[in-house]
This record gives sequence, structure tokens and C-alpha cells, in this order.
Amino acid sequence: MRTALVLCGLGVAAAAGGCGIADDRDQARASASQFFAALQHGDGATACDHLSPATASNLEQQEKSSCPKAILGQSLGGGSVQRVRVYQTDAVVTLSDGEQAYLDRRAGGWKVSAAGCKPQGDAPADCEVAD
Amino acid sequence: MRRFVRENGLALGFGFIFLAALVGQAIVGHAAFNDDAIAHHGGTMSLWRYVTSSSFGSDVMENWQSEYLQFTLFILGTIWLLQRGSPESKELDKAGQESDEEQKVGPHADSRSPRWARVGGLRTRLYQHSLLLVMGAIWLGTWVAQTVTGHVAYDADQLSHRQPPVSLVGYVGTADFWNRTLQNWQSEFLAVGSMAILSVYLRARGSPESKPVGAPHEATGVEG
Repeated sequence: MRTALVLCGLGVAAAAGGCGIADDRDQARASASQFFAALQHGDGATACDHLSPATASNLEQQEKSSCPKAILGQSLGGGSVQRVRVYQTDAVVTLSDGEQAYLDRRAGGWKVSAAGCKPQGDAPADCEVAD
Repeated sequence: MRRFVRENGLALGFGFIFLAALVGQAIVGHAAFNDDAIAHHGGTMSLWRYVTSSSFGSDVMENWQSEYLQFTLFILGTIWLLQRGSPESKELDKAGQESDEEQKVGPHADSRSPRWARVGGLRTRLYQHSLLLVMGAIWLGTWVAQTVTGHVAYDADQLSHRQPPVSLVGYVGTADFWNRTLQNWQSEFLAVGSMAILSVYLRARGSPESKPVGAPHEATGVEG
């Protein structure tokens, strides 16, 4: 433990993404889980609290409706969060149904920037909701 | 104190401007990272998070590794490679590792020689290559650090474009890794090669990296 702290203090492990990454992973997992749980419970307001500002704004413009109403009209998959991968300020979560969601770390915590995403090989994923 | 500063001016001077440049890089690198994040609707970082991030780490390490590679190859190359007229080269008949007598090794060491140059055996074998070994180890270590931090930064960029992350081995096969590596290597090799040639014909009065101003162009292995 002391060795790990010393390494983090030196910035070595930090530079390699080793410090705080477990916290980030937990927080990204929690935010994504709360987002999808809110959708399952028909709670659009809570789901929108977990969206990034740009994604919520884009959704409102596309659907010409408020975010809480618009988000419930999207055909987003569900299921539990199976895997979380974090790289600096970006994370991707994979759900049990195979769909993915992308998150950004912001001042207010991890926010969903895209959801209902289907991987397209090396090309950008095709997402139902995105910024 | 004053004497210590005068006798260690090179290390202290370059240590100071190194730290100043590193702080400057951290400040402007942080601003550039956040500008790019805002342009892509991504998450920004505090200065502290940035200086402990892989983005900053890879930007620093890719330059460090190339500098240590440059000096490692320069030290290694100048054992065998010569350049007529250059103060960076040995005299033209001295290519190679030279004799124990010329290098003051083992029984040829004098009373002021380092202990490991005198004792013989493994310690002397190690000591006679210690500069190369340490510089080479720092190069390899910083290149590995560039690879690890560059991988994390690359995958963060992949995710910001909703593209799939790659493995560490996969990253070593990307154009990004080799672009970051080779763009640094080529500039270091150019600097060493041009210094070897320019110092044949040009002078820097008072610098040991130059021949004396009046030394002939063809004089090799002469330092000012």
C-alpha cells in the first residue's frame, strides 16, 4: 500500500493511469447503472440528470421536446452493466444485451454522452442517443 | 556555496531551465487538452489531474526517450565512427575501444582512478560501459513509459470518437505510436549529424564542443 502511494506520489503509476482508476471505474459504473435504472422505471428526469449537457441538448433539439420526455421515447437497450473500461476522462460500458454507452468525466461526475450504441468494427459506434 | 554553484553551473543551469520548461509544458498542455475537450463536448481536467494523466505522461516520455536514445547512440557511435575535422570525433587512428593502457584500466589505472576501474573482473567490465548501460536503460525505461501512457491516451481518444479501444500490443502496431516515436528520433539524429559536420567548419569561441577558433578544419579530435 505504501509502495503504491509512493508510486502515485511520484506520478509514475498516475501517468500510466494506475491511480484513482478504480474509483473512476466504480463511479462510471454507478452513473451508467442509475441512468438505465431510471429509464426502466420511466423516470426521465433522473435519466437526464445522468446525461452530458451536450447530449441532453442534442436530444431536445432532435425530438423537439423536453429531455425527460424525449429520453423515454428512445429505444435504448437495457440490462445490467457487464464491463466498464476507463481511459482518462472517457469510459465505455457494455451492457448484458451487448449494447454500449459512452461516458465523460465532468465536474459533476461521470455523465452519459452516448447510449444505445452498437459497435461497428473499427468505425465509430452507431448510437441511438449522442451529442 | 558560491564555489559549488560555479563548479556545477552546467548541471544547475540546465536543471533549472528543464524544470521551467516542464512547468511551462504542463500549463500550456493543460490548456490545449481542455480546449480540445471542449471542442469535442468532452470532459475537461484540473491541472493536477492533467499532470498525472497519460496524455501529459506520453507527451513528456516521447521526448525524453528520444533524447536518451540520441545520447546513447552518440556515445556508442563515437567509439567506432569517425568524422575527419570534427571535435565530436576521436583522432582517425583511434577507432574502437582502445587499449587498457590508453583507458587506464586494471594495472594501468593510477592512484586517482575510480576504484572499479582498478579492481578488474566483473566490476571493471561493468564500469567501463556504465555510461552506456545507464543511458541505454533510461532510454528503454522512458520508451516503455511512452508506450504505456501513450496507449491510455490513445484509447481515451478512441472512446471520445466512439471507436473501440485497442490492447497495449495493438497500440504498438498503430501508426500513432510510430509517428510519435519516429518524429522525435529523426530530429535527434539530424541534430547529432549536423553538429558533427558543422563543427568541422564553424567555431564557438570558448566552448569545449568546438575546436579553437584558429584550429585548422582538418584537425580531428581537438576540443577548444
